[in-house]
Amino acid sequence: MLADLGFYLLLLCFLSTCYGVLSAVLAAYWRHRRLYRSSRLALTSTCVMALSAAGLLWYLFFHRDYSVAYIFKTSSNDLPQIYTLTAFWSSLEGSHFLWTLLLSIYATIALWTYSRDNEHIMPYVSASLQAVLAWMFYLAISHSDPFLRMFPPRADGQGMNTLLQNPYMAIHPPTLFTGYTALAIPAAYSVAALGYGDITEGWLKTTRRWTLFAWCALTAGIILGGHWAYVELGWSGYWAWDPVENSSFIPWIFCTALLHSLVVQDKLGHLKRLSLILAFLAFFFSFFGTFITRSGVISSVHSFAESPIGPNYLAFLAGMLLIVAVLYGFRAPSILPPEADKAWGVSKESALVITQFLLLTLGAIVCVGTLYPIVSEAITGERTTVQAPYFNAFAPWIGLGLVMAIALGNMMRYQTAKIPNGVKLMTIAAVCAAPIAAVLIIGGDVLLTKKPFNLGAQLVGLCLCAWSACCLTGDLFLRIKDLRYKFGLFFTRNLAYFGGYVAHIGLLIAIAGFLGNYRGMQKVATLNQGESIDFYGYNLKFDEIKIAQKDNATLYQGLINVSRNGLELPPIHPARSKYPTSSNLNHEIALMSTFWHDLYVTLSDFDRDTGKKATFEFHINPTVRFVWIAAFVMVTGGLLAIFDRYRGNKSRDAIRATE
Amino acid sequence: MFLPNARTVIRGLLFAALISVAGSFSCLAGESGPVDEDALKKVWPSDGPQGELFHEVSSSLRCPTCTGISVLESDARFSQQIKGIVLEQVQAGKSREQILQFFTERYGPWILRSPPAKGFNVLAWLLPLSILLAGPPAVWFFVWRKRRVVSTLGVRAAEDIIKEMQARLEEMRA
Repeated sequence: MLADLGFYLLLLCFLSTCYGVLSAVLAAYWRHRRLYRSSRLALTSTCVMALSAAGLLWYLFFHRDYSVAYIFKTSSNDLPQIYTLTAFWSSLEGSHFLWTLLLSIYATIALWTYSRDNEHIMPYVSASLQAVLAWMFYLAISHSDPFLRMFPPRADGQGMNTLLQNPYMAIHPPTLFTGYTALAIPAAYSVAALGYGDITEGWLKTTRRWTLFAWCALTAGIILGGHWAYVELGWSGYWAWDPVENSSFIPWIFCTALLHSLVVQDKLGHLKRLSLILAFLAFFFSFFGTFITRSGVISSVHSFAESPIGPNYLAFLAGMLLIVAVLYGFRAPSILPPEADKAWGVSKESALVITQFLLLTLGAIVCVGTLYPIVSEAITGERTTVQAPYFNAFAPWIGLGLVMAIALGNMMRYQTAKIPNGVKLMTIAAVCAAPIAAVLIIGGDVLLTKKPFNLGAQLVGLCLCAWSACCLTGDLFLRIKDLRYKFGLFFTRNLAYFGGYVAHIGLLIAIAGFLGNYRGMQKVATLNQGESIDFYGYNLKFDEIKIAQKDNATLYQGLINVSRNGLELPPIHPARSKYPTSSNLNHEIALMSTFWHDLYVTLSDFDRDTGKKATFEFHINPTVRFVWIAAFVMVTGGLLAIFDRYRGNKSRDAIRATE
Repeated sequence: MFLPNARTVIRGLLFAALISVAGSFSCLAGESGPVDEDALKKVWPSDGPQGELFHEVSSSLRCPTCTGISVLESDARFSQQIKGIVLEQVQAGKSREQILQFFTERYGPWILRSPPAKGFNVLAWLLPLSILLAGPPAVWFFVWRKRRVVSTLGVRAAEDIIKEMQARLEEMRA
């Protein structure tokens, strides 16, 4: 009964967004203010109804109503409360619904927190956002209905995918989806600018904030996903370049490129049309990612045709692309920079364009690699695989370019080839970077790397990262010095610059962390009770396998006593877990984490009769913690930049803020 | 165009059979508790030239039953078997190319984690390289070098306007 109510709520949402699109389009056409307000109210009521439907779905989950097919599929009676909460988005229908729900929430916020400088393009914004929503709600009532009933209702569900029973699943999907859906707002604003035929005064200010918000959420979401993979999947890595990961990385790349294009647009009024394209593509690729991972097209072109969602998605994506392309073709030529004959030359704006080129190339490579198996299978009929080695052949070179671009680009100034105190700055940075690089190289035991290429890559990478960070810091110092050390003034006027500084430092820390992948070590050993092995200064002594119960899982827990250089450390428990709803044994890894490296242990196999013999995989993963720290730093930088009141703000708000 | 050839079909069926056999094995191992002495004994080498070769080869073969990871990183039953074969061949003194060749002949290029740069697959490697190398000249040639022509949808070209104004001035002076 309640499930039917949920379905009707979704149906109402669909109808209400359809009305919203229609009224917004007419409001834009007739320039009718009250009609636009009506469309905004339609969106608001959609948001309220979608929230109610979500509440209802959660209610049904907690009451274990297995007459709902989705609940039957993703939960079971033994599921702990916390995972009953996250079961909401643990499969296709629910994650679609979460996507839709978040989009309706952010769209509503965007329409109510509009700037008066954008008043005249808001109908276009409302129309584009609700058009996307209408399509998502259509999907929710047709092919991906979370409230679909099944009869007769069963007594117990099939259970949740055991890999998803991890605390990170409570926070990772909502964060990532926040990023995806928040990208809809810059995209809607760029469609609005195209519809209106010009960039409005408040366009940059609003787009910049939403892009930064989406960027922070995407950054956090991607790294949280990596952390989940690291602690749950048991293959001792956090990034496998698999299609799902790639499809979250591509929007991030476009979003980052957009931020850099918005900077040039703010300072010089150039690259307007590039910003419009990037804003649209960032959102398009977040949709495209959902399409290729959800339609089954990635596993094989042949499975694509079997699911009705695939062709639907394809039609929608093609339609969206076509509409925007036509709109762009007609309207973009009139969106012009302030002066027609600008000499770019060697300057900061050129450096920013090069940065964008590098980012977009990386995006294109990831895209080619992800789609290549599909295309190649369709054309030649032979299946191929594109995995990490392919991406790792290209990504480090782009990374190298980006590190250089970060250092040089930040020191440069607009419209001039001269870097103020350039030689001095770079020399002092090199001198300061030497001890930092030395600490990184010695502390991380880089010289233990055996392969010459890997060793060289790390040495060059770490030195450049340290030098780049020092250049950035030197530039920051110069700017503060130029303001005669008035820190109050610096932080009120240059918060965006400071946020950018923090985010760039974060990226450099992350790259220093990624370099650790070049010197990972592993060892596999079968140990009898009481036997021990020495590995990278650790002495690991196997005791026995015990059986323990944790929530709904049975754990086969290995006990290993650890000591390092004679110092006794707390014991670790690599384990395998068995859930009642699945016959597989999952990894429950043991992690001993220090600043410089992680000791990562998995239990591969064990003697099931006596528990006195077991095979373990021991990994040393250097500088993994750098990556987690970097995520925190980058998100902090992004958030700082959001609160800058001046950047991109050419309107009365800026004047009010100055007063 | 979408029709796979007979070889691919046979290969696929062979694979499906192997995977299901491997799957049923792993189910058995999970359900009951016989000691799998073989698996316990098989410990992969991590040092020395043989260990390095083993690592290199097994990290460039994909785990057939997983997404995104190599047989080295996977402990699925099927990957364990492949690792066993790799180890045997490494110990028999075969080179990296020979072992990869052996697997490619059996399972097709699908088993390799990156497509070999042969035939159609050259495209996969050329595309990124060409973007990286041909991109900057292309941008320079098509975007930056081109003079912006301001003549669109009611907005007339600035030069035209200036000419028109001058013409009118001439008229007024005359």
